[in-house]
Order: sequence, then structure tokens, then C-alpha cells
Amino acid sequence: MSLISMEFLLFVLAAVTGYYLIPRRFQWIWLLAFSYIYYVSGGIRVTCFLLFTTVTTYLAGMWIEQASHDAQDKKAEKRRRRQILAGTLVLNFGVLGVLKYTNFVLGTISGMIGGEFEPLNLLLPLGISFYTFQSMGYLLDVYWGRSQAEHNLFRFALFVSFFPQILQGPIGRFGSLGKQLYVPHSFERNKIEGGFLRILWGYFKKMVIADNAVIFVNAIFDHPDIYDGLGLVGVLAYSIQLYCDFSGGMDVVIGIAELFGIQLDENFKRPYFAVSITDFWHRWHITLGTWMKDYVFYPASLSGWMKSFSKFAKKTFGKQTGRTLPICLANLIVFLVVGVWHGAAWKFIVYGLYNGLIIAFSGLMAPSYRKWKKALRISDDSKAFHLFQIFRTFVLVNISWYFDRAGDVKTALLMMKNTLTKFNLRQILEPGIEIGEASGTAYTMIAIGVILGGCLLLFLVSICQERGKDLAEIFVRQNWLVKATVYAGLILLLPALGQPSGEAGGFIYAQF
Amino acid sequence: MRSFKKILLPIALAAAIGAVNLGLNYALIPYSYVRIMMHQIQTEEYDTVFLGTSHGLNGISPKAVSEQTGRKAVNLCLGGEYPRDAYYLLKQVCEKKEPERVVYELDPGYFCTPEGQRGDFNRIYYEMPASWTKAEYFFAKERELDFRAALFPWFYYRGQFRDIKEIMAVKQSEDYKNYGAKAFSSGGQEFADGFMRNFPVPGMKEETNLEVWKEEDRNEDSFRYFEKLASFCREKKIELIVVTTPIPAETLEKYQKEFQEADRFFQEYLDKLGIEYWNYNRSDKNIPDFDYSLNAFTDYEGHMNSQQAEIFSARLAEDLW
Repeated sequence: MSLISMEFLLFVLAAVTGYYLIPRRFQWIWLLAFSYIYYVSGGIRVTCFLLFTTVTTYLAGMWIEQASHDAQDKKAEKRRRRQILAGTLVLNFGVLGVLKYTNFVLGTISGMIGGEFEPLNLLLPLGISFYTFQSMGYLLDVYWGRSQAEHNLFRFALFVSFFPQILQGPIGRFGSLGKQLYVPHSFERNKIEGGFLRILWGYFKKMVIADNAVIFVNAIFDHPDIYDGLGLVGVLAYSIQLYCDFSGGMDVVIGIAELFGIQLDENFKRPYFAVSITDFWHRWHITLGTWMKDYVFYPASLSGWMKSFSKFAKKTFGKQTGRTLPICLANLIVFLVVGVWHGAAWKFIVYGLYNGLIIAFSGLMAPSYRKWKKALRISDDSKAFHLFQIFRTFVLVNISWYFDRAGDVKTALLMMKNTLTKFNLRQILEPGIEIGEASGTAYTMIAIGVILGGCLLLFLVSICQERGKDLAEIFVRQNWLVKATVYAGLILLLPALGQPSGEAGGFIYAQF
Repeated sequence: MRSFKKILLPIALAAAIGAVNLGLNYALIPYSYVRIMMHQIQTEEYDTVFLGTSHGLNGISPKAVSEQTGRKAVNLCLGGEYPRDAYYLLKQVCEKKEPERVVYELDPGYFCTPEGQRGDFNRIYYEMPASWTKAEYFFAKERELDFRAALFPWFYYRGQFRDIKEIMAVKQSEDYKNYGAKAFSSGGQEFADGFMRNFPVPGMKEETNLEVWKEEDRNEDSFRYFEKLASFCREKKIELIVVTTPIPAETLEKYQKEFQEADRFFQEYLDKLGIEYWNYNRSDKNIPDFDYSLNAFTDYEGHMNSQQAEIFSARLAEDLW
């Protein structure tokens, strides 16, 4: 059930209406029922995988907690808990790995030995990457004593399957999401109004901005030989598409959760205002970043072998570099995992490593940067330097988008080269250009105008948010005429300026 | 008073958006022959109903068939009409009166391609009068679509804003009010005698839009709805015949393997369902006066011109007789 389909709107309407009509103590059961109806509508067979993750993680959580209470000697307790944790992690990440990466691994091996490989027709359950990460995060929290295990299987099942977020996140934490899911919620007009506005804003970003940008993205990235002068336009359009598609989807998801009185974690915080790649990852897909930080980066940094490496590095390279190198290594590991998480292809691995290398390099060069800034008398507080940092980060991020969107690493590199050597904006106006044909729209200039206008609106909203203004809060305080105008305007702009989202391929991150 | 206002405001907002929506539907959605078809099945009773795709729309003259068989026929074939649409169209016809015979024009491409979301794909739903069939059709098709397709029918026509004046002029004309077809007499075709008459386009044609049969890409929904259509006909004791219209010899020759495979597959499939299948591209169904050269068709896909359609319809009527 796509987030843009009519049936999804009717489904949400039915879910929200019933939610506030039934006795409040049954609200979580209502949500569980609707979450499973939603998931089962995608196929019974894929639901088995969701049930598998739910049951194994629930049991493992209970056993880990039980082991802590029962154990008489500490060592045996620790070993038992570790065995349960490791077994469950292997099982669940194993399922994810087999379903998502088997074809990639077999294809790569086959390519290396010069054989031919027919990809296997494997099921890929909807949202498997998201619910697996969310469930394993819960288990690690229980293991480390950050959360108590949930004793009610059905309540835990709701945490894993909560329908607005299961397809494309945000990746929730049991500590914050769990509590909200199980407590009763009363009807609050402000939350409903705010949630509705957020949903409309999300659809606006997706349908009006992202789906207009995709016309150019697909034409340029799918025909890099024809549009060799438009690489820069393509990557800029992709940076707009990806942000508006993913963050728009998040707005819809967070807005729907808000209709139930549930506040999901934010996943985006104006990422294109970031001043460094590290800052970018604090603003882009935040819940994946914090998941990686908590469950990969810190465990890797604090592991025994990393401590040994740190000692070795300090001895060999000196105190400063020796302290930074293990962090660089941990970052490289994190971003390798991020790359692999994004998809089963070399280009995603390169994409991840590229980010990891830049962050590692920045870490190593930090003392030199400080010296240079001092020598050049550049103040961190200066506006010009701040803008330079934003521009520099935007350029670096856009380089990574070439790897993310191009067909493969070779094409990405070729497009980068063409961007520098064959830039030719006039290609966009050449007769016979295929741009627009994919979605049956022949009005390219209108699409350009819509993208630019949409981006301007998005920019103004982002500036206000960056200055700490809560626009949703301001909106709900307005009089009815202002609210009605904003609602009606956004509602009518979706069909007036939007492109058919189905043909644009739906939400990008709904395929993870 | 306060709570009354709280309820009234969302209703007023919905009403205002509804009014703008209706206005935009009127201004942007051009007149379509689907409206005429819907009017025909609402106001008249038919013995023979043709369902199918654009090949049927351009190739079957219901007037010729009616005259020759003595049974009143209507052509409800449309470009982009998948078996799902055909099934609900037939149900809509049967709300008025059950016909004696349904002829389904089969284009194998519609059984191996996904239903698109462009052009006239949504037109049947839009023009269908409010009825239980329309409600069923909504749950069978519209619910899966982008919500803008169902809520804002003008969405797929928003690019026609430059033609608003012309569209509105047509809709204010007497011809429109009387379900006339003058508006479709341009651009190399006219809607007359109950079907879309293509004017001859001599010369060679470029190969575009040809969807040949690929069993591995079969569209399960198409098969499911075709079978629903077949059982509906059985239940209502309506005779169902399946036909494939002739296509140019050049096309047939170039894609001989695919067309032969389609013929074999659908013959077996329809045999299993106990349905008669007449494929007019087989040598035993050869029509003597029919010109199979590409020159006599309007495109490479095989949409007939009106002269060819008359010849084919005469032969089809003879077989139906």
C-alpha cells in the first residue's frame, strides 16, 4: 500500500477515526491490528519475516533479562547473555543479508571467475532494513541495560510493526517510541492540525519538487552519453529529488504518527545547511546516523582490538595522530556499513567509503586546519567562512550523489569527468531531448519553474526553522482563514504542479 | 457556538476545494467519446457488446455489424482498456439490460504489460454514472492509484491549461449537450457510426508502441479480470467470443515468433475456459478483400483505417451471424 495511494488515505482515515472512538485502553491494540493489516496487504509471505524478527527478538530480550536474574556466577551469566545476543543478531542480520545481498555476492564471485550468473528470485520484505535495525537496536539496549525487556509479545509486535514508519523509518528507539505507543492518547485538535499540515507539506515536497526533479534526473543519469553536458544539472536535480523525496516521506510518516498523538524522532534537520560532512550526517537520515553511532561506532571504538590499535598508533605516530586514527578507523567501518545498508552494489560501498574517508581525513587534518585558520586570520564566527563551509560541504555531498544515483561506479566517474570537461547547459533546450517523455510531460520549462519555485519556498521555510522558529506551532495559532488558505493552497498545488508519483517510482527509501 | 464552528470550518474548506475541483474538471478535462459510450449504454439496449482495446475501437463498426446481423451492437473498446476496465464496463452495461453476446477484442500486449497511469486510463471511471458498479470499480482500481487520480480527475489534464478556452467552448456547445461527435472530427479521425474512423494514412510507418506478447511478463490482474468477465458472462448466459483483429503483414512477419507464440498460448488458454477464439491473423481467417500491407493501416501496430474497418467488420459480422 503506497503512501500516495487512495487506499492509504482511506486506511489512515479509518485508523485515526477508530482510534479516538474506541476506549483509550484499547488504542494500542487498534494500532497493532492496523499495522498488521497494512503489512499483510503487501503479501502474506513477507509477513512471515516480520513475525520471525518480532518473535526471535522478543524471546531473546526476555532470555537476556532472565539470564541476568538467574545467573549465580557473573562469568556464566555474561557468556549466556552474549550467546543469546550473538545468536539473535546473526539470525536477523543473516536473514537481511541473505535476502538483500545474496545476488550481489554471487554475482560478484561469478564475475571474478568469468561465469554467467542468473539472479535468484528472492523475496525482499517491505521495510526489512528498517524493522531489522529497529529490533536489533532494542535488543542491544536490553543487553546493555539501557532498556527493560518488553514482556508483552503483542506490545513488542506493535513497536516493530507500527505502520506509518515501517516502510521507510525513522528508525525508532524502544525507550522513546515504545512508551508512546502503549499509553492512551486523547484527541488534541492542535496535534491533528499540525499533523495534517505536516502530511501536506511532505506530499508537496515529494509530488511537486521531487517528482518534477526526477524528470531531469532520470533523463540525465539514464542517458549520460546523450546528456554529457548536463552532469551538473543532473546531480543538482538529484540532490533536490533525494532530499525532498526522503524528507517528504518522513514528513508524511511523522505527520500520520502525530494524528495518533505519537511523536516520532526527526530524521532530517536542514542537511544542506551543514558545515562539514560530519555535520551533514548529524542532519541527514539522523536516526540511521545515531543508530550507527550507538550500535557500531561506540562498540567498535571501545572494543579490545581497537584499544590495542590505539596503543600501537600512539607509539608509532605520536599522541595526536595515535588518538585520532582509531576514530578514523571506526568511522570508516561505520560508513562501510552505511554504504552496504544503502544497497547491494559496489557503487553504494564506494558511496559509504567516500563519506567515511572524508570524515577520517577531516579528523586527521583538524590540527592543520586550525593552524591555517589562525595564520589566515579566519574566524569561525565569520558569516563568509560559514557560507564557505556550507558551499564546500554541499559540493562534497554532491560528489557522493554521483555514486549514489549513477548506474555504476564507472558511469559515476565518467559523469564527474564530463561535468568538468563538457558542461553545456544548452543541451537542456535542444530539440529531441528525452527529458519529460518518461512522465508524459512535454513542458520542461514549467517543470524547471516549479522546481525553482518549490526550492525557494523550501529554502525560506528552512531558514525560519534554522533560526529556531517552530512553524507548525505558529501555524496552529493562526486564525481559521489563514489555516484554510494554507490547507487549500497545499491541497490544490499537489495535482496542479505535481507529477505522477507512481511513474516517478514512488518513494526511494520505501524500497529498502 | 464554538464547537459548531469547529465542525463547520472543515466542512466549508472541503466544500470550497470541491467547488474549485469541479470547476477545474470542467475547464481542463476535454470532451471524450467515452462520454458518448456511457450515454449510449445508459439510454439504449444492446444485443452485442464489443469490449477491448484501441484496435477494436478503430477496427469494429457496430453499425456494420448491426445491419448485417440484425442485432443491435455497441462498441465499447478503448485505448488503454485492460480486462479490469472491460469487466466493469460490462457490469455497467448489464445494469440496464443483459446483452446476448459479448465480443472481446484481445490484444496480447494488454496481458503482459502493467496498467499505465496516463492518457485516458482513468476516463472510464470518470465518465461512469454513479452506481454500484462504479463503487466496485473504485475498490478494484482507483483505490490503488495515486490519490490525485481519484480526487482530482483534472490532474492528468493539467498540462492542457492553454486549451481551456477551446475545451469550455466545446462543452458549452449544443453538440456536447446532445452527446454529439463533431468535436472528434479532426486530426485524421472522426467518431462516427459508433466507432473511431481513422482516415487513411498512406506510406510507410515508423515502429512505435508495439507491445508483443511475452509470457514471462504476464500481468496476472489482466488474466484474473478476464476470467471474472468470462464467469460473469456464463452466469448471465451471455455468449462470449474472443477476437484478435488483423495487423499488417510486415509487423506480423517481423515478430512472427512472438505472434505465433501468443496465438498458441491464447488458443490453449481460451480452450481451457471453453471460449471460442478467432484470430484474424491466421491464414484460415484470411479476409479476401482486406489489404494487409502497412500502407493500409494508420500505424505499425496495426490500427485500421475506416475503409479496412468496414471490410473487417463485414467479415466479423458474417462470422458472428
